[in-house]
Order: sequence, then structure tokens, then C-alpha cells
Amino acid sequence: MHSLSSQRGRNLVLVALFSSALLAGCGSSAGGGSSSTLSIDAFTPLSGPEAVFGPESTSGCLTGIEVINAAGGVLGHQFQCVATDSRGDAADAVPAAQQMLATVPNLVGVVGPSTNEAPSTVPIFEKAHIPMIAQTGDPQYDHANLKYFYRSTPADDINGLAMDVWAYKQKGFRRAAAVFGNDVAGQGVVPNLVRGFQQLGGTVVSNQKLALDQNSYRTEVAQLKAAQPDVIFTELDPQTAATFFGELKEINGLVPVVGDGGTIGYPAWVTAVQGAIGADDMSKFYSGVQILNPDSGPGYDAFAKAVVKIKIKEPSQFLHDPYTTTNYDGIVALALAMTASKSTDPTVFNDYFLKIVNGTTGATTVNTYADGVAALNAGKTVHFVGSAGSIHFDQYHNAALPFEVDTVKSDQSLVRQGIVPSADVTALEQ
Amino acid sequence: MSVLISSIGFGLISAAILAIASVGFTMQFGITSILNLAYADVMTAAAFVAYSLNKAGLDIWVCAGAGALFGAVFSMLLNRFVYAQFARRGTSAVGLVIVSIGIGLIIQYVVVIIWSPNFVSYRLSQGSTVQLGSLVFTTLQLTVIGISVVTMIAVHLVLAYTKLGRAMRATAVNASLARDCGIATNRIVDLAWLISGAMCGLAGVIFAMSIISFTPSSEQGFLVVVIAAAVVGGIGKPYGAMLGALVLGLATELAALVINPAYKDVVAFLLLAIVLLIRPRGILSGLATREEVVA
Repeated sequence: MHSLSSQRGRNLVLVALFSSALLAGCGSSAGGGSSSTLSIDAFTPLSGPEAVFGPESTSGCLTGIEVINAAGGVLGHQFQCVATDSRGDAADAVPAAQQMLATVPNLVGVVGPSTNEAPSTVPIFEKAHIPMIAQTGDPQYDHANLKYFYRSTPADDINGLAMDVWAYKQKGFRRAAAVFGNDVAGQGVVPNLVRGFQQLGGTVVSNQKLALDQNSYRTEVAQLKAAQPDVIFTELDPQTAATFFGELKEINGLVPVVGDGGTIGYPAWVTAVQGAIGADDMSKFYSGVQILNPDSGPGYDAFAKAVVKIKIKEPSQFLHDPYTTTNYDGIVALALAMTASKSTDPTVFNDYFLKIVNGTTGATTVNTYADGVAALNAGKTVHFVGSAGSIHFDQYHNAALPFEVDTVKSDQSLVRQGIVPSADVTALEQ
Repeated sequence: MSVLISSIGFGLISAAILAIASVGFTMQFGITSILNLAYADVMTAAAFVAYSLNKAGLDIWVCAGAGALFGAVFSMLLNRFVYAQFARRGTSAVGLVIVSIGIGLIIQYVVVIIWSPNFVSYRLSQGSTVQLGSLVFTTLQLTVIGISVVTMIAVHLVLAYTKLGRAMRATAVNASLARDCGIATNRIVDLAWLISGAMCGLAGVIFAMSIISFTPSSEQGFLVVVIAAAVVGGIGKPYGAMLGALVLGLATELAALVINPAYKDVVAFLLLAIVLLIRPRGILSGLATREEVVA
């Protein structure tokens, strides 16, 4: 069970975090970074509507360099984390990326980009041979051939497949309705979701694309009622979701609702919908499918010890954040790739990254950076299993992760209902 | 067929809410020629005033009355101490629009400061279900439709049959001539803003009830539809706004059924464009001139 309340503080600590990140990185990189210091850039939205994603990237970056530096650095080099504000905007991100490449010394990797700025900046980083630990959810990278791009969290449309698996295989629903907004985020999920549910043997009886933030969805609800679904899949913005599900309750009575990470991961969404349908019905009818929030294992324990040491306000809020953990894992794996290749040149160590993360035959499993370095120095090959558990990147450099399914209690804490294994999702992806 | 009939019923509910808001909006423009783009923000503020009272335990309809009262007083003061002052100093119509945008932003931020940007909901019951032929309404929806009908009738009676209504119409047509004829136009303008402000506040509360959970920014988008309804009917004409609300309310619900829910707004504004192409001054423009139903 995880508390959503800790996530509420993210917006509030943004400024403090950004300042801390700058103190940890920018301040020393631009002016006083020594030649032996290697830089990882958290290229992420730190301002604008997407700023909520910034802390997840920078916290993972800071935690990664914390353990690397504590273990003596990489090949004698210390690490620093530099924060660059992409503003979460495709156009604004381009000059920010170019300035970052021109000014950050000894850049060996990027944490980012996120969804909005990825299309305009991934080509820039790829051309510059800078490995990216990306968080973009854009399905266009599901089958992209990029050498330096690594998506460490599943794409948004993969979340849709996990919803299919949960609804069909684990809950036994056979007639589904898809109710998504007519925005890019919502519609990015729908094609795979519909295909996956049908592939499993289910029927999609209604596929509604809603205009957002209308004052009424009663006609749409009436159409949904006529289709008689036994489950509703959804991602809608909080306002739309509150109105739609409030009217669904009023006109038809609720049916089980399965939301994606864009619902359960946002306290505002939970508050709005809970206010509309009531806490009891929220708990009874709604469940959300999101990337598994890690909370145990030797890799996680090492992460948990490190994250509370980083100099940001309320670091404990990132203890169960899947983006923070996967970013941390990505940086540690990059550092191990450097050690394994005996090089800090991205064109050299990049080839070792997948071997470290996916593992090779006979490799020694390690859960911390220090253990990894020790094993490599002993002449062994290593398989790094970090805080998020075993991650496997496919040929397009997309990571498969398990998902968790949660319901929401009246105090907005989450109650885990089950796990959707990554293997089940991957099988449906084929 | 039953979904179609249901959609018409849902369209009536949407039209009822829209009518209260758009008649208030169009009256402000009709009397003082001010396109008050802070209208939605006053609606929001009234909705939050009602929320505080509702949270304190008062019945939602008492709170709606309080929201209307807040809207009335606030709007009257807003006109007297802000818009009228700018107008007296010769600020152009465009300048006044900019002023109203600024006022709207100020109200928005003050609401956020007082009530926070988070989602809130009223404590209210939808009531029991009432079947009227193929139409199914909740008692809450029927109450909303009833309030709207009563409000529209009251507006009609005031404008058509009272001394105040005649004075308002005279002030709207030519304020200086009305003043020369002995009408206390300043008082009439105050009263017009009180009445339209009450409709604004009432619409704010009912709209918030309609969308169920709301924030300080939830009612912003509704302003566009309010203006569209006013323009479809003929801006400045209360009867036109009533008709515009009915047309848009039905059109958006039927568009969701017949075309695609994703294009509700597109259909509504396509309709607006078509009406303005055929009748550039709105549906009731010619009729309004002949019958002097200008408020």
C-alpha cells in the first residue's frame, strides 16, 4: 500500500529540487567542473505544465551519482548531475538541448527526454552519440532503430496492454468500452488497447473519443449504457473524468472502471473522481494500472538508502517512484558499462549497456554499483539488477516492466490488487 | 430511438444552464455595451462562495441563492467602480475588453488563493428519477430546468411589462436620450448589473453542480459557449440568448449522438458560423428591431 499524499508534494518541492539539482550539478559544471568530472544531464521539464516530471528525473540522476561517487566514481572520474530545463515543449527544448551539448563538460549521458520534447531532441542526442535514459511514453519509439536511445519505462500504449491483461485474464471481463479523451495522450493508448483486448478474445463494444471539459456527457453515457460493457477502460483528464463518471453513476449506475497510469498516478484525478462518484464507489468500481512501484529486493534496498541522502526537500517522496528508480538504474548501468569497456567515450561504452542490463550467459548478477565494479575488476561479466528489478530491453531498446493494479481507499491511499507480469504484456505486444 | 429522445432531454438540461448564463451575459452587453470577459470568473467565484456555505452545512439551493446574491452585488460593484470608471474616461470598447480580461485574471487568482486550485464538489443529492414519456430526469435536473424556465419568464415579464424593463430598454437604445427623458440611467444600469449578475452567480453554481467536481479554472471554457449562445441569438438580446442556448444545448448533445462525441464543439461552432453567415446579427436580429425586444 502506498500513499498518494507523498506525491502531492512534488509540485511544491519543484523549485527547491531544481535549486538543489543546480547546486549539485549546474553550479559546478558550467564554471568549476574539473576535467575529470563526468556529467549526466537531467534533460527534463522543470517549468511549464509538464514540470511535475522534472523531479522524477533529477532525483533519479542525483541518486545515481550518489552511489557512483560513494564507490569511488568511474575509472577515477567523479560524476555530477546537471539539470537542464526542456520546458516540456518540443520547440523550446531544441535550443536548450543544443546549449546543453555545447556547454556541459564531459557529457556522458542524458536522463530524458520526456514525451513532449522527445520528437525534437532525440535526433539531436542520437547524432551527438549521447546515451539517453528516456521517459517518453510516445508509441512512435516502440519500433524505432536508435543506437543511443533507451526507454527505461514502458510506453503509454504498453500500459494499455497491461490493462487488457488485467481485465481479461485476471478479472474475466469480456465486453469492454474504451472511453478516452480526444487528446494525444489519450488516443495514443487506444489502438494497442483495443487490439490487445480483441487479441485476447474480448469484444470492444464501444470506443468513445470524448471532447474534453464539456459540461455534459449524458448522451455519451446513454450510448455507453446501450452498449452494455462489463468494464470501461479510460484515460481522461480529471475534469472530464469527474463529469463523465458522475453522470454514468447518475444515469446508468457504475460498472468496473480500469484506468491507466495517467489516472491513478495523479492525485488531482483521484480527488476529482472521488468527489464525483463518492469514496465508497471509487473504492468499489475503480482500479488503476500503473508501472510497478518497487518496494523490495537488494537493488531496491541500495537505492532506498541512497535516495534519502540526496540533497533535496523530502527525498523520501521518491522512494516508490518508478521513474526515479528506473532513472537511477539507468545511470548505474551506464557507469558499469563504462567500467566494463574501460572507456568513458559513449561510442565505446554504449555497446556494453545492453549487456550489463539484459545480462549475458554466465554473467554474475549484481545489485549495486560497488558490487558491479568489484565483479568487473575480478574479470567477471555482470548483469545489473537494480532497484526496479530485472529490466530487459528489446531490440528497439524499450524496457519491459511489470505493472501493478491498485484501488483507492477513502483517504486516497492505494491498495494493491495484483500484479500484471511483464511477460504477459510482452506476449500481447507481439 | 430511445437514446435519441434521451439526448433531446439531455440537451434541454444543457440549454437550461446555458440560458441562465447567456441571458445574463447578453444583458450586460445590451445595457452597457461592455463585453464582460470576466463573466466566467464571477461565475466561478460565486460557485466557490456557494461551496463554502454548502461545506458549512447549508442546503445546496440556499447556497445557490447565496451565489446569485454574490454574483449580483459583485457584478454591480464591478461595473460601477471599474468598467464605468474606464468608460467615463473614454476607454474604447476594445480597451474595456482588455480590462475585463485583466479583472478576470485577478478574480481567478484570488479564488485560487482563497480556495486553492484543487478539485471540490458540492454535497448534494441527485434525487429520485422521474420518467416523462421516454425522457428520464432526476429531480435535481428537473429543478435546474424549472429554475431556468422561471428565470426566463421573470426576465421576460420585467422587460416587457414593468417600468424598470421599459427604462432598461430605453437606456440600452440611447442612454443620453433616456437620461434627458428623466430616466435615472445610472440607477437603471446598476439594477441591470444586479439582475444579470444574479444570473451569472446562479449559473456559476448550477454549472458547478452540473460538472460535479470543479476547480477555479473549470468554468473558463464555458464562457466560449455562453458567448456563442448570445451571438447566435443576437448579441445584446435576451430572447436571442434564450433561443441560442436552446439551439446550442440541443446541437451539442445531438452531435455527440449522431456524429462523434469528439466533435461536439466543432458542430456547435459550425452552427454558429452558419447562422452568422445567414443572419450576421443573430437569429433574432430582424425580429428584435421590429418588436423592440432589445434590453
